[in-house]
Amino acid sequence: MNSKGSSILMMIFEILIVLLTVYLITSIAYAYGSSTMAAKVNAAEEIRMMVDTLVGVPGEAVVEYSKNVSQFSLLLDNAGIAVFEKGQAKNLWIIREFNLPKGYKAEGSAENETRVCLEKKVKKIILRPC
Amino acid sequence: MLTKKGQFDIARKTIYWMIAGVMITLIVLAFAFIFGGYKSKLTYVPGEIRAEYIALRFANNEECFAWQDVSGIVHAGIIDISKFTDEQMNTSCYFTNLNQGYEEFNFGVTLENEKKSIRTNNYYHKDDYTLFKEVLIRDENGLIKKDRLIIYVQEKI
Repeated sequence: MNSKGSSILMMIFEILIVLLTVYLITSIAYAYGSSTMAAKVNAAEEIRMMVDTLVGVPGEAVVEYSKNVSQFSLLLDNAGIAVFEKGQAKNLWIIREFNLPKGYKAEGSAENETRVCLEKKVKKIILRPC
Repeated sequence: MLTKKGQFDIARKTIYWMIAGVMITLIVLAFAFIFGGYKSKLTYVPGEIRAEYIALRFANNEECFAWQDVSGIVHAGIIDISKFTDEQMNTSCYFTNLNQGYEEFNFGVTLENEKKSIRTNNYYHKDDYTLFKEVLIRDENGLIKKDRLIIYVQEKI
């Protein structure tokens, strides 16, 4: 190989490296920027705090969750709240657990609903579309 | 055939790209790390807020210590002193997993004037912070007195 040939090869290699770096950084930024992970975690945390609050309120009450959760499915049971996207593998679900007092039950689900409500009826906390 | 200058150029660029490769990898990793940290900050919930919400039940929920009269009405903020026991706490009010429960919120709860303390099943006096609530207590004779609930919060061990 002559000097000109090797310098062209080197230039191609350099361009590839630069393109790869730009691609990697852009894809990382895009992954974090467009990620719904933060929104899911926030929704799960906030709904868990709403459940804790309803447990600490005597009587019956209905609370509307103020954010749009139409991107997600929500599943509430006695152990906690799960927030996930439709068809998503279970290991990617965001699950937040809580402790209910004796005799209390939590149940309900909402799939791609714009607004969801938590309702406390006697000793039952129900998640439902508003 | 490469001249001496050509050989030197290739060797120089190879060394340059070896160093640049390490630097570029470090920059990409740092970029990912910074974004990861930013995301954690976006989703962080201070423990005090959750502890406050959980602790609401102690004085307001009949399965905890709130006084429930004979007609079934629950008097929020009035603690029935006969209910203020470890047994009530751990069987009805707040119970964490026997094996892993130390990783959850646990509470030591004291009535300041009554000098009576109870705790949740995985509370080991490793207090992260303390909450205070002004409450009324109803004693065995039906007398209502003012007291203060001191709630020691153990977030995680």
